[in-house]
Amino acid sequence: MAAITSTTELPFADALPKRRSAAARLLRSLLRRRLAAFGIIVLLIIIVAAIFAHPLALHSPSQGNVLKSKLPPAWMSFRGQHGERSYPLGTDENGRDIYTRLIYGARVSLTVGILSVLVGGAIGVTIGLIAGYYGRIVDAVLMRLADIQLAIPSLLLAIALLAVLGHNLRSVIVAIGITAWVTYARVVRSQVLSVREKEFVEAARAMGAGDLRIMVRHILPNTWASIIVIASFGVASAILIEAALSFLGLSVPPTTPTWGNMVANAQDQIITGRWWLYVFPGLAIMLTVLAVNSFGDWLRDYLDPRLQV
Amino acid sequence: MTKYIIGRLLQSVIVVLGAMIVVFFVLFHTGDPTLLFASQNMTVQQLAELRHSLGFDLPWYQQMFRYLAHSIHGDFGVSLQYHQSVARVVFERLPATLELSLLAYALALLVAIPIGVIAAVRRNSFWDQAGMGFAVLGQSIPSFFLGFLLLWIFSGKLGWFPVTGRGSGLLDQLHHMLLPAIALGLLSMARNARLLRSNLLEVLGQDYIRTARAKGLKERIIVFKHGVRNAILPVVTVAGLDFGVLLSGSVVTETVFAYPGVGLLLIKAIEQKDFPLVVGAVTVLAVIFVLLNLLVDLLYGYLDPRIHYA
Repeated sequence: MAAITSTTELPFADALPKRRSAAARLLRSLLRRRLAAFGIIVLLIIIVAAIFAHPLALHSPSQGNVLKSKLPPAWMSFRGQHGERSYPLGTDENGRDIYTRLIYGARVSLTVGILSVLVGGAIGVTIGLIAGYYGRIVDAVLMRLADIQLAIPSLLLAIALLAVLGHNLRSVIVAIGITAWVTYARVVRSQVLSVREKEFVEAARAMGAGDLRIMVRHILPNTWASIIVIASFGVASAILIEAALSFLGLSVPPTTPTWGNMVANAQDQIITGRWWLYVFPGLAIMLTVLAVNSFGDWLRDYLDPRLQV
Repeated sequence: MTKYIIGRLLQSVIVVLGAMIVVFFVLFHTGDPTLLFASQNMTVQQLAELRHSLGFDLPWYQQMFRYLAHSIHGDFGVSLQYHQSVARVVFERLPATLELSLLAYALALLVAIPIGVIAAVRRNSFWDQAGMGFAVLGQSIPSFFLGFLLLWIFSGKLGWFPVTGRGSGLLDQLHHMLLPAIALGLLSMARNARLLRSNLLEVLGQDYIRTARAKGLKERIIVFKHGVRNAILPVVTVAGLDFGVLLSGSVVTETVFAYPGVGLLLIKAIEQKDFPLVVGAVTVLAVIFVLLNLLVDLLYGYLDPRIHYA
């Protein structure tokens, strides 16, 4: 009899489930969830726009042409004025191009979103690992700290932190990161508690592994899935918080356009009916957050549909 | 049970004290408050004397201790803007914010429960897709943008609602509160709708529901009396978190609608560097949040007989 070298040569090969490579599985999962795919495409567009802001921009984001102020978007007329092609989404009362400011605003939102999650995640995962691993007093103290922080609404804490750290990009990233660590800590801690007593940890300890090595090399890899999912939702939340902060004027200085302060600048204009001043930045925030949330939903289902996140 | 309540209350006191310490510490580093009391042409010498008389030259832990000792007696200091006791200024505005938050939460539940139930019962139908689509959108829209849109459409173009302020008399106040309450509550509404749908789907798949159907009970009774009653529990758990979101969201919403509550007070205080008022307002909000969470936990313990508070 000829040697059987793979499952495809077995007599009942047709009944066996087909093996799919990891890449094929990923693509198939993506295509199934069209919303998530759409979300990823939108995200890629925004990321590209943010990175290539300089070449993609049509005018200066902060220097306006007063002669061209208060223009409506290029396809419509408003109170006798018609828009111009070179200002596709209209201009504000200082003559600054809305489209250009949107692209530059994307930079701030994405930078804050991603980096603040890295900061918050680093803090939270570390604290969660330590609290879960060492337990008892260390755990009690750290979790009390978490409770104290949760008693202060996160937006208010961010505002208070920014009052001390100053109103610049780095402070915003750090402040939002600090408001977010608790979720990571809690999830990592509960994972640590469930993994801590498993045999492979005991085996590692018997082989002489130190605490740090056990935490990082053995326990942490089991928590990556949860951390990544929380992080993806954290990006959306960070973008929203940054938008609220810059709407209140408490984020980066107003010389840098952000979607939030574009809406704030448009506050007086509601009455005049120049809706493009706040609808476009607002839509930008909404679409970005929607895209990130869709991606996060898909990611959670892809990594493990049983995840309790 | 009483022991649990007392224990939780003590914990809450520690938590609130901790919050106050953190906020005090953070704001302490924002600059020298003596300058706010000083007049234009003071010499360095006079400034130093003023600083000493106000106690601002003491080390931070002494200032903080004094502050905490006073606040336990209800003395949160005097507001630098309004020249009234902070406690009085905050408590004047507090009912407005509380009413707004309660209305927002009530609206959120009123809308989320039907949406969640219909979405679960008619799974994968148009209502399900539409309801969940609405929920996902609701979680993505920034509240100030929503506030703007509502203002533009309903106050600006249609003129159905007033633009700012609070109004007087019950009906008028509700009239003023409705738009900001919707803007404030949408996030909670969306999250609860999704939560209810997924929990209800899980509950309706359980064996005892199958038994009820086999017994021949009407579907409506099954869904509401057995299904929703069990699925609503996580919504209650999340209620505490929701209130935190509502309280902090009120800061932005009150700014957009110029609604005279504690949120707007807080923003103005931060802008004007009214240090005592900021700490006082944040403290009051923290106390409310902590008490609400305690209430929610007790309610949850009462609703779910599987939970025993030792």
